[in-house]
Amino acid sequence: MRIPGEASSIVTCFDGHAMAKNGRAGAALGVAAIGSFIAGTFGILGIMLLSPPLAEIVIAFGPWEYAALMLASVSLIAFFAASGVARACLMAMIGLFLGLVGLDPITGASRFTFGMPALLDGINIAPLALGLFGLSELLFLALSKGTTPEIMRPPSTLMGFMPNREEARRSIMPVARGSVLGFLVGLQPGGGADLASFLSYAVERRLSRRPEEFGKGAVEGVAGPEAANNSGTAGAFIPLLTLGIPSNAVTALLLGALLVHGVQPGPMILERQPELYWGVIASMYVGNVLLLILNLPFVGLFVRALEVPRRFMATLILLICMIGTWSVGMAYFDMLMAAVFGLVGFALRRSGFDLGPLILAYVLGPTFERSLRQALLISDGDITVLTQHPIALGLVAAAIVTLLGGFFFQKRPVVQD
Amino acid sequence: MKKMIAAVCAGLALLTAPAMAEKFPEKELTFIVQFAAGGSTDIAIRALMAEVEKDLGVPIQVINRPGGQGTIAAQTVVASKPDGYTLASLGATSVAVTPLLLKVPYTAESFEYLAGYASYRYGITVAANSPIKSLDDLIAAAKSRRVTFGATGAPNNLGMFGLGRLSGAKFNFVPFPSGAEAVTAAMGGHVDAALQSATEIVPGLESGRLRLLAVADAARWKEAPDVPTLRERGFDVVVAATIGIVTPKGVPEDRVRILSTAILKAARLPSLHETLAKVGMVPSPMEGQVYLKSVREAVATAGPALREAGLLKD
Repeated sequence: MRIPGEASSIVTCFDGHAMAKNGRAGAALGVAAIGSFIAGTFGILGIMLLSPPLAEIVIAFGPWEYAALMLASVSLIAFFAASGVARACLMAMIGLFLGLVGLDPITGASRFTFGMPALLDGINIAPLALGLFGLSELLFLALSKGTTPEIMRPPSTLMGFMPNREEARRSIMPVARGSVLGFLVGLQPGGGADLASFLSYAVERRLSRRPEEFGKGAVEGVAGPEAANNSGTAGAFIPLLTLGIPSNAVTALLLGALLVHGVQPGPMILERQPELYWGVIASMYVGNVLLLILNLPFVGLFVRALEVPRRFMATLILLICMIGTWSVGMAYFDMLMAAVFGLVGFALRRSGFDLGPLILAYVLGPTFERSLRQALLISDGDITVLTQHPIALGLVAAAIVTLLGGFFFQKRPVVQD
Repeated sequence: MKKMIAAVCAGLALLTAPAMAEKFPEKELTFIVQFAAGGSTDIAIRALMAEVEKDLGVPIQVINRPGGQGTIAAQTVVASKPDGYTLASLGATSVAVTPLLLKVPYTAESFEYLAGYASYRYGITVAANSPIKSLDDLIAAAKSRRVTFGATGAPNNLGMFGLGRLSGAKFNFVPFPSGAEAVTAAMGGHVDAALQSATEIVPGLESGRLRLLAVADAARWKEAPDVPTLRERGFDVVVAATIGIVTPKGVPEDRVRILSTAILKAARLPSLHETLAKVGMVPSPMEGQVYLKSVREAVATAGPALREAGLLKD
């Protein structure tokens, strides 16, 4: 249905939906499930074996490094510029603007909150993403002609759910790359699985020999991001387990639960309570296997959901999207925002704009701004201090190269939806 | 005819309402926590409310309204009906200091204070491999070069500013969105020091990555008994961060009394003190009026400190 279930699934929608249209729905789900399993396993192995050195990386990243990392990530909008450079930049600008609504991270001044307390924390990603992508898709659906419900025939045999040989072969490297990339990105506090899937999509597109296929059902566009967001979730555990630092809301909750039970996560956990540490790791493996077991056979069932006539499906999805929005902050305002963004997303997509750069800039902009300003606060406004931070310098160079290379050397495929 | 009887019955039923309302509380209470689920404050409050629930005999629904540095929860409770069914936890900071920094529709006087509950513990920490080995080193460094410290905001940064004012040194504040990030930045040497809570610092102490220079509390930490308090070193700086339980102004006095008695009783339970210790906090149960007094003091001292640091909104 091309509707993301969570922020990190947005990217999977691009090519996943196209694959479904091509009759490869089962394969898409299969690739996602298997890719996620492999990436999850990789991520858990990473936690088991690489925690100590990775903890060093987390500590070594200061404001300059974060700012540079964000810059390098934003430069990847060059690869979303399917609809043209100017349009991609425009979308990125809008995304940046949406990201700055709320409190100034350094001075605490309100920006564009119009006196509304609901906006003090900015525009939440759930209503934004669900509205821009989910609700706008529903609007497209409503407008498309045809009284007969569009049903995508699910494959009738189990093998239909598996990717064919060609797809499997093409998925191997994206899954591998996605696993590694996702893990490293998830490592950083505030980075997270959302960012991982976007970066993976951009990387796969850049490295593909057939970039024009992206958006039309390239299996790499599903395999990479799904792998990335799974290993990203695993990576997010490292700061928690090794340093006692939660990097996102989920790990923060976990930290609280552990504290109440008298467990202090941190470097000492391996010495003081090794049974707990290994217990957590073991539970991750079990969960991963269960995920695969649940996903694959049930793919058939899930795909059969596509047979539900569109008019019922659409209402159901609207309901689920709204419930999802509500569950984040329990505010009616969020649901209103989702609706507004649904309209905005519809208008933008109708006009041929690619929403990818918007979301990317929205997610990365605030962290970039905050890190840069922190860095400048520390150096008292001196930007040349950057030269003393080799990691940051390297990332900035990569950003410039990517941006220039992407814009000038990329073929310009025709605008699709 | 039937309609008449129905109307009369409805009218009679309405008459019983005042009689029913005499028992307070008779339905579910709502409690708003100003920080996200899973954090120390959230855990501390949920433990407290579990006990208060037993005492009052009605369910208490604890919801989180994080954000805006505690102002979203504050605004939500201020806007709610003053019938005693909505309560909130607030830090002394969000009521005393934040109104001076942000434009918010409330002040410290907009609330009815039911009780004080527990306090965070704060300490000044540096990386273990930092050349700064003691509080004196830190002050000396600040006098000879630019020294930065990381913190989440008030009241932590007020502690450093206070130290700066009393020692004649200048400490430059770098804000971080979470205590964990501030402490990690100190670990990595990106900022010279961090002033954060015990929960965030102790893991680093135990693993040997952090060094604790001094604590900004009234008493030493049991996890680091050799580290002095700022007061012991001659600097009368204590970061006041006590969580208070509030309800909007205008709630009838008898209801206020019922609520505060129940809360204080629970706050004094030894089992709760244990839970608090697990999340790195110390119990500080106090009457609502006593808490209000401390809030007013905080307002009085915070103003000049912020003005000096150049942070006041103008």
